[in-house]
Amino acid sequence: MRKLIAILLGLSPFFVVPPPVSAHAFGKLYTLPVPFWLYLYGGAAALIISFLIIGYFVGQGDKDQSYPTKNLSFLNIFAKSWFFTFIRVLSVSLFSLAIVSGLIGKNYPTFNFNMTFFWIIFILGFTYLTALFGNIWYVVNPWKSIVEWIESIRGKPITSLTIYPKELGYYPALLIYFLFIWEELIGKTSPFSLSILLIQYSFINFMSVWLVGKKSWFEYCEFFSVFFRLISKIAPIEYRSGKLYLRPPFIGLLKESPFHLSILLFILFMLSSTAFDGFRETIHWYRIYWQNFSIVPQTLFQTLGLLLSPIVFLTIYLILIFLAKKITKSNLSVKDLSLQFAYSLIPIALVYNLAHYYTLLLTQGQSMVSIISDPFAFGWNLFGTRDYAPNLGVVNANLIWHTQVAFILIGHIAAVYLTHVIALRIFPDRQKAIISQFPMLVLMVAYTMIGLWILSQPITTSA
Amino acid sequence: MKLNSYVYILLGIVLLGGLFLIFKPQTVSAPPNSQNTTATSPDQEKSTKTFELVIKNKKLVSGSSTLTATEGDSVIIKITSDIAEEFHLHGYDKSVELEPGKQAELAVTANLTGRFPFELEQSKTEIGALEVHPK
Repeated sequence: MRKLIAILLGLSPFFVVPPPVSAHAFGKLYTLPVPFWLYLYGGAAALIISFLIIGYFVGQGDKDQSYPTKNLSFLNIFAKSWFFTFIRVLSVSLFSLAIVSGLIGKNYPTFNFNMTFFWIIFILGFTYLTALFGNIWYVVNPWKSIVEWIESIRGKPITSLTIYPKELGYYPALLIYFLFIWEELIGKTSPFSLSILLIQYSFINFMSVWLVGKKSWFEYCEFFSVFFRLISKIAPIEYRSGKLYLRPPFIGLLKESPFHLSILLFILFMLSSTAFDGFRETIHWYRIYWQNFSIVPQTLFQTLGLLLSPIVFLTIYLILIFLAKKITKSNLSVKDLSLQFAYSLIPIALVYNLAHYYTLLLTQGQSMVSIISDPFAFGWNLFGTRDYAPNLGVVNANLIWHTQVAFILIGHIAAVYLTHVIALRIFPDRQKAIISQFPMLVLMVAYTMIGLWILSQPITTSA
Repeated sequence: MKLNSYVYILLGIVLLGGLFLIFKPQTVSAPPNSQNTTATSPDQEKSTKTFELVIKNKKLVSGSSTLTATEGDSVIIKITSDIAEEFHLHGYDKSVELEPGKQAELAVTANLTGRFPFELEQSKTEIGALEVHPK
């Protein structure tokens, strides 16, 4: 009963549910800072690759931007409607289980199903899955599924109260993204508070669909839909008229460019939120805070840091876009140019995330084996796997360092390549396209070096 | 893809590979020296590292908050606390009960590499971390 009241109370203000118990630090990263020599290597390699790619484009004549695709007919089973229905039912069931387990299960973050399922398997695992296989969320989205089931029961679509003002662009999604990251990094959720958040977010979803309509809500406002759609452009698989095709990875980012400034901010926040999470673990953040700002509460200080982070990335971006405009004497405005190149940052955003969090999926993700036997932490042993202990030896520090740097470099190569193709498309002559690349190259090297630098800095215990 | 592309990819791999060999240290550098490291026993090739921590008011007052060891070392952490608590080392998932004023000892063989925080379990206070560097 107390929980029921708490749920009802929690529904009104979105953000004020305090975790009932102080949360155990969830999903600990066990990574060591990348050694200095490897950091230097990463930087040098990024520079060399950049010039190599410029060299390649200087020596290449055609502007042909088509790419090879291959029909994956053996995978067409996954594009069938009965399969879609199956994974929709599975997805709604899993999200319902996550909500229920937080409400009725024991409030132990490491043992309750919902924390590992949501923060590790879904947020990390599903992001990487999307980068590999495309926009699965479009089908999996449990809120959209429920809305569509309601529509099919009613026999007619839900008519929205108003029309979504398109001038707002993706700002609603960006706002939800910020609140989401705040909960992830600063909010210290517990299983119970996570369930409350999921209930609130479901409520917001259904109300908003009713308010602005299904199409606009899931196109512009619903955070996961926007996030996964951007990530899915990286995938080497594309879906066209009921068929699946193989294509070169990252190439999907060239198919269109964003039209609204909010999407650029969204992409920059993808970069900066991960960078912020890495940076606040380092000794530098610790010093800045304890030497100058220790009168400010830590939560507030971190919130301000998180807010400031995209502004830092945006400033760097705009300065170099402005330079690119100046040296090419382009007629396009800084805003147009900054939108044209925005998608080329997505590979860097993905590799930041991979380099920073993939080990968490490999270590913490293993605890799912024991959790499925006892999802509510009641002491059950449904499948006899309750006592499975995660093997942390799967991620040796040496291996982690090398894969982290490799990820960052792959993202860098993709980003530099994409900016070249975009430049060839938007600048009238090759000469200008090539010289526009020098500021863009500085930009990509800067983002890559920020990513590497954060990975290489000593980590400290924030008291 | 044209021949040009393959030439550039090959060139890229050769350059990055060569650069890697130049940057990679010949002998893997030893981790920075830790405090409170006791001498190794001569009959064992693996060294033993002993750390002493004193905790007052849930804060570390003596000893380093970053304990450094090398893969394979025997690590002994001696903890003295002014209150009753449970000392928990993450990753290795080992705990030891602390009684006020009495020195407790937690020993592990450092076979997992990485950075493993330790905390006072009951009050969820992070004290520091054991960093185990690869050999």
